[in-house]
Amino acid sequence: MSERHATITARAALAALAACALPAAAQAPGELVGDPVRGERYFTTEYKCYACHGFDAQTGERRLLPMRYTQEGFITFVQRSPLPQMPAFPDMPAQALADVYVYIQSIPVDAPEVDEVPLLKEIRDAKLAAFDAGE
Amino acid sequence: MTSKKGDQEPQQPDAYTVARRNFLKGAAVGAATALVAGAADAQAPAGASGARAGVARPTEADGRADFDPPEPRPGTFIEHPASDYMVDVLRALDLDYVAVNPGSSFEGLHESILNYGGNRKPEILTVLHEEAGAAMAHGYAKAAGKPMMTLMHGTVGLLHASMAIFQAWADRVPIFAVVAHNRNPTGVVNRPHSAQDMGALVRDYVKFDDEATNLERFAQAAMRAYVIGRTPPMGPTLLVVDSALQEMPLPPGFDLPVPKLVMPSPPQGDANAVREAARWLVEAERPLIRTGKLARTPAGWDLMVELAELLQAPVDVGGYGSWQDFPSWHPLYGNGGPDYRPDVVLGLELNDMAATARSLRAAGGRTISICSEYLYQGTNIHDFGPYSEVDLAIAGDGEATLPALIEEIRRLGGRDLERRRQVRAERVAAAHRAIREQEIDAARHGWNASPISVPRMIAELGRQIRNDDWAIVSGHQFTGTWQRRLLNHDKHYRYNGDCGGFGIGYDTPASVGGALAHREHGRLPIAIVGDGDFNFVGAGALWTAAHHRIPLLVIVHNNRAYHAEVMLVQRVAGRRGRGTDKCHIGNVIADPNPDYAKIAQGYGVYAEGPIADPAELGPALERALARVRAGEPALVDVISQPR
Repeated sequence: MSERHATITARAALAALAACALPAAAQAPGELVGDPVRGERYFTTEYKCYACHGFDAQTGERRLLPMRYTQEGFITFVQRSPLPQMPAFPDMPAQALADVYVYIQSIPVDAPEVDEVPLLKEIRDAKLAAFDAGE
Repeated sequence: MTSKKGDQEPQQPDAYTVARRNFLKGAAVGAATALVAGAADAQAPAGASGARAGVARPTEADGRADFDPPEPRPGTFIEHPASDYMVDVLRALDLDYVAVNPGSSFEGLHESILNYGGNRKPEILTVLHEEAGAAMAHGYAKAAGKPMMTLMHGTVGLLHASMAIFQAWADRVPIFAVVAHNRNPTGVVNRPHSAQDMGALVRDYVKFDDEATNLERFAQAAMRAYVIGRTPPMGPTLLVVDSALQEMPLPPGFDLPVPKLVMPSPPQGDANAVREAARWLVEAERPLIRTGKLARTPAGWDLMVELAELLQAPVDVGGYGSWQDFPSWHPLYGNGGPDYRPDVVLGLELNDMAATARSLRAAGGRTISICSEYLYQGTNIHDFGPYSEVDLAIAGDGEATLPALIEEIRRLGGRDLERRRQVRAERVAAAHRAIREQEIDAARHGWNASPISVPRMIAELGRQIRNDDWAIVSGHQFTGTWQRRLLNHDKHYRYNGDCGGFGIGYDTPASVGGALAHREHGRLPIAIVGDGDFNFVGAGALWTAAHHRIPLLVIVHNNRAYHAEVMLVQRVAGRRGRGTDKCHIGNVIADPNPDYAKIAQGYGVYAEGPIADPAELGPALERALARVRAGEPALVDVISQPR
């Protein structure tokens, strides 16, 4: 776990550097500037987002990558979630959620196509063959 | 295990009817003497201990009585104790195994099983906790298709086992449970291990309990407990046995016969109602079959395939708590897809059809329920589901009623049914094939993640066992639907079902029981257990597997927490506006991280881990499975994503 967290932290630090290098024009008007290092801490330690969404934000329910929300939409949804399966976090500051948002975006998407993964391709082919054979 | 050593010399039970044959005179005199002596000791003043007046405190004599039982006088060995007859009765029940954690209230029966019965039928399975023993019996019964016996000490042993008995109750699975105690306790230890109504401790979740005070009643109660437990709706039963009864000498010429076991046929649904159900199904445009705990036997599985294919109706096997009722890669496995709007839903052994009944009625459809739950006679546990306003309710065992239902459908079905079948077959196949592809596609997300994703873990396992005759003996509770998606459950025994009562602690010991049942068939048993589950009585259960050479691969799905509860506490904290940053406290199993491989190794089990790199998982599983194929248990600790 410690090695994995070190990797994530390094990744978040790189994302932080990249965020600092962004020209101001890249930010939408009114958008908060997130800190991915703080976001990683919120995600994995303080708010335990990983408990449902996975350590890499893409193995749980729901998958957060690729991110489909705007920053504003993300903050609103997390603070006021109406879904029974997702608790609302009304006390979580918008700035903290902006940090989480940019952290999630810093995580590389890990979703190779089925055809690129021999094991998955083998399972899919066997499953469809069983299906077609009516077994 | 609680201290159970050293009850006093056996005393005569209150109503020992065999005594009418006048063979107990000598023993009765000795027992009566001991009874008087014990009573006198119990009333002795504490003296120097300073006990308050009027309060009975254990004395030194009590202690001696508990831990130093009198030796038999020379020449007074009991050659034929009553517990030998009890073993004869157990043999008639065809019980292969009895889970035992030792207790002084059944040392007589224990000895008879070993030396009179030759430790066969039943053979003793040494367990390190009564809950583990009862859970093993639970898992064994589902895999073997017949009960295992568990033998427990009074109060303490039964209370330890009570959680697992409850789970078997909720899962509708028989356990042949026997608890012993001294009905006339005298020692400081055996008094709290005795009760005026022992069965009351678990009566809320057993189908039947009885206390045998003589051998004739023991034999009848044993037969009755076995028959009631195995008759649908099935469930655990409890037989209470007096320790003194076990010690009584059988007289010369003792001829009390062992009753013949006669199993009743399982209850079938009413013929007219079944005919009506068949008519509705034949006339339906879009029938859907939903199952809960249907296939008690492989015959139930075959009948389900026959029914589904006859109707070309999709089969929606329930999620948590369901058994493996239908092949998971079969074209009809599923709910027909998002556009399939059923007009008739047939529920088979489904104890909750309330929502289905409401929605179908609102849409103009109809619901049928064939379920043995209607035959329950009352329980304190609210596991019977809400009242369901179905349109046709049939009280009967689902599996036992299927032959008549299938026959009626064949009789009624004509060209119209054939036309509907063909239309449905194409429609359902198209929808389900798309779903099959989506299911595999979903597995690729986080494929290389560390901690390891659940689908990656299951897929790597599938690669290793593709040429084996495998059986998953743990539940699906903590791996979602990934096992059924990624492993072809093409036989009845591929999956052994969940715990039934949504309780933690079932998976590891029940898997040992399931693996024991599969051993004689040469199958490869596999358990995927949560770290939370393993921490209950799992480690000790592994020792039982090692000791009895029960092959079993245990994969610890180790996400270092009870993750569902993190979110639940967060939800409450958020609703109350009091901060959500502390909700991991009480929910996370870390700092320090338990090392499950070391724990298993300490119990003599081959183990590897923790493994967090997905590239290392396949080779680790391969090494562990080599041990399992050679006939021993093995464990792999996998650091996994939470879900």
